[in-house]
Amino acid sequence: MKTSNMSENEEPIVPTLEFDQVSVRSSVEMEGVLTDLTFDLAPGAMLILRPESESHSTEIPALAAGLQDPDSGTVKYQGLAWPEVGPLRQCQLRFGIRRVFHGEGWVSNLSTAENVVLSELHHTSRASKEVEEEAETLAREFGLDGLPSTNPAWVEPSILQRCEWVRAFIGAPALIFLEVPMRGVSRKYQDSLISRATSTAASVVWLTSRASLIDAVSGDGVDLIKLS
Amino acid sequence: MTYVERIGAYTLLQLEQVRYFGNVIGAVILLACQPRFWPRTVRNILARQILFTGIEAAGFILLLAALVGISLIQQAHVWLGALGRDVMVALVSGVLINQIGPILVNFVIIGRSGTAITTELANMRVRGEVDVLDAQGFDPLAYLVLPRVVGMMVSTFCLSVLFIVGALVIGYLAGFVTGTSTMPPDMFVASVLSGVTLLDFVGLAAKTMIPSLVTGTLCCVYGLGVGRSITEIPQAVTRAVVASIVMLFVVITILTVVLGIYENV
Repeated sequence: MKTSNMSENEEPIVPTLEFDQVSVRSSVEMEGVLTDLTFDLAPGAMLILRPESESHSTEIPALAAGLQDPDSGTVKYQGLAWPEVGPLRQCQLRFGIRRVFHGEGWVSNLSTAENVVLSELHHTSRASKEVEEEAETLAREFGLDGLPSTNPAWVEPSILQRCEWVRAFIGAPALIFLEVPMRGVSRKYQDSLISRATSTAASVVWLTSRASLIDAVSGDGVDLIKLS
Repeated sequence: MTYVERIGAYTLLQLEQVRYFGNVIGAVILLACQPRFWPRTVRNILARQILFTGIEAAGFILLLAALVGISLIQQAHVWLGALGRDVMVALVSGVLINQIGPILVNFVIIGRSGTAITTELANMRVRGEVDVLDAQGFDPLAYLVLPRVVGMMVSTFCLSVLFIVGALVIGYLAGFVTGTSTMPPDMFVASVLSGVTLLDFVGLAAKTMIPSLVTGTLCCVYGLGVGRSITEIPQAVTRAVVASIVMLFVVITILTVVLGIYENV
């Protein structure tokens, strides 16, 4: 399955993410396996990966970020196969990949607000105030009254999940994985997420089996792959 | 496998671990020397580590310094007749700077901060927080290990200086109050300084910062080395403390011998 990979003047565009015959036969932590998964994701393109259920976690984001090696097949991010990239460059590349995590996605010795801006402050030289203001703006866009200054353990799940949205979209990511992004969140916030996901310059991968969300996101140029 | 083969296999395993820890320590030193590995987030952790390991422990260290200082002055009073006043003060200050200060403060740091670091990092590993950081492009060595180890090194040195000065000052005041010491303050300071050489200050820096570099790295490595089970955390802490204490004495002994040889040369 291919998303757009040629520009208007027919110059080849390096896909943001390429999975070529990727298989993972066994996994200790994840449910299920992947078999011969193939797709290209062009810059700015959108893809829906539909697992069997919302609780069905997948290795795809970890494979995409080079945190896990496939049993067979090749994963390329921005044209680079992870094994060919040195450790420091891998860290820099991973900064461009954002995730709304399927499971726990927080560092417990930092406040929620600190967690949200942590990556941006670590990898860029943007002024702290500028980053915090952008985070606050995104938070309001997603219906939050700012970012909680308390530990993530003390934040209500619905708010925490939307804080993950803020973290995913802050700065200039190249690839965003939205893993079950609506879990625990009222449907009234769905449109704000879709609106932000469709307007971002980053490539977006939705991992969801929620029919209403898939219907809302699906459209021209948006591919859907069903994960067995 | 024969008994001899088992001893050989065990020895090789230990040597492999020493090599691994040596590599991590070398990597920490290399990273610490490069400004690009000190972004504001890492500096923030360094500041927090110094606050926890250094500043928050200052009161406890001063209490220990007072108790050790008073004990030393009372003991010194016993030696006074045999050694003479100036020699005795110089000897006491030398022992404080070269042995008691660095060893005691390193012990406190291992017990107070080393265990905390191992527990914190092991908890982060078990809860998957290290993976979360990994996924965001954080290098665990640069983000988690480097600031904690450097924080421990800085704190150990500063607390050792505080301990030594505190023990001498409080010991002197206690001796003055109890009447065991009638030496004027200026003469006391002069006696202390007469027993201290530049090599003692170099030795103090080495005996505080090198052991804490080793023990800090050990505590971080043991913490990050746990798997997914919460029951591994206390085991990791125990292993980290035991290894840190052993390495503390190994490093202090080596440094004492090396500095002693250098002084004699």
